[in-house]
Amino acid sequence: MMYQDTAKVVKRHTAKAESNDKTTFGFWVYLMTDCVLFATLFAVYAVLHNNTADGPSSDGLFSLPLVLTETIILLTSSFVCGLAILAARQGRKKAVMSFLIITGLLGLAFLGIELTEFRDLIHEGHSWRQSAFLSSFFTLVGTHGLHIASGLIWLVTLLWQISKQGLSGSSLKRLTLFGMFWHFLDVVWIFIFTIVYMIGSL
Amino acid sequence: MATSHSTIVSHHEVEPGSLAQYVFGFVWSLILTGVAYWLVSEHVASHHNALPHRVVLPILGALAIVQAMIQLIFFLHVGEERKPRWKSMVLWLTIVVILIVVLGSLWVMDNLNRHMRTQTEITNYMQDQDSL
Repeated sequence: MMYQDTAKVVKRHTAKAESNDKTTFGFWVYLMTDCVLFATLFAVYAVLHNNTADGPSSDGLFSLPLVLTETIILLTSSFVCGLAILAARQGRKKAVMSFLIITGLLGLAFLGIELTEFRDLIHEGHSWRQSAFLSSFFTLVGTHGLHIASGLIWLVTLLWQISKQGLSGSSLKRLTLFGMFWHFLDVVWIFIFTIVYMIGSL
Repeated sequence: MATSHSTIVSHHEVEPGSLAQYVFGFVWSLILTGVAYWLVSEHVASHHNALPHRVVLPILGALAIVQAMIQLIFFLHVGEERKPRWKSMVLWLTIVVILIVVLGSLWVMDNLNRHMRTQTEITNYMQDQDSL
């Protein structure tokens, strides 16, 4: 009896898992094309980063403690998003909502720090108009920021959906996709952190 | 480390991702970020004399690649799917495309830079042409 129940549950789970597999695979392919987009922007940055046109070079331009704070905030956000997905599998709606709100607030903090950095650079006269290096810097880091901003909008709609419908099949699926998106943005940030900020400050 | 590894193996066939996996990925990402940051800040504090660039650059590159792999495996669950592994295949294809785009751009543009004439060279050339 017990065994039959378990077998039923397992069967239902595999059927559901298979349809979810197709969606997550499709989304994975989208993420990979987004990877190629970022790769082209990294290539532009790498090619242009010495073309400073008498403006500042990347060395000494950035505040490293601020960048480290930004990085840790985004990493924590990615981790908490993973906790939300784990809680969703156990059907803990309240925990999912709180983890997602923390994820969003950390994402917002990250975006706030990034925009402060941009504002300060522009105030000092180092906008994207000053040199090819700064154009490529703002394009690369700004595109990542734009992804984070759209992720935050997605997150708000997701929170609204989960609060209305609970952890139904479709909201669980969307949460999984959002998780992939959010983790992916953190992987891209590793390379921005290393190439733009760390290697750029050497 | 041995305990977390065994948890990963036992959860392998159930659902992608366990708490142990996320914690492992998070802690190691923090450590690798910290090491990269420490290396660079030491370098900057010592007025760029601590280590030569040819030592620091590969270390920073390796730290980034290891961290990306950790997050791909423990956050994005790459390699946990059953055969045929389409997800991994698309990832490998993307890595090849990225390498072609990035290394190709750097190679071509570096070549162009080397063969480009400077302003003085162009002026000299034009003066030569005028005097003929």
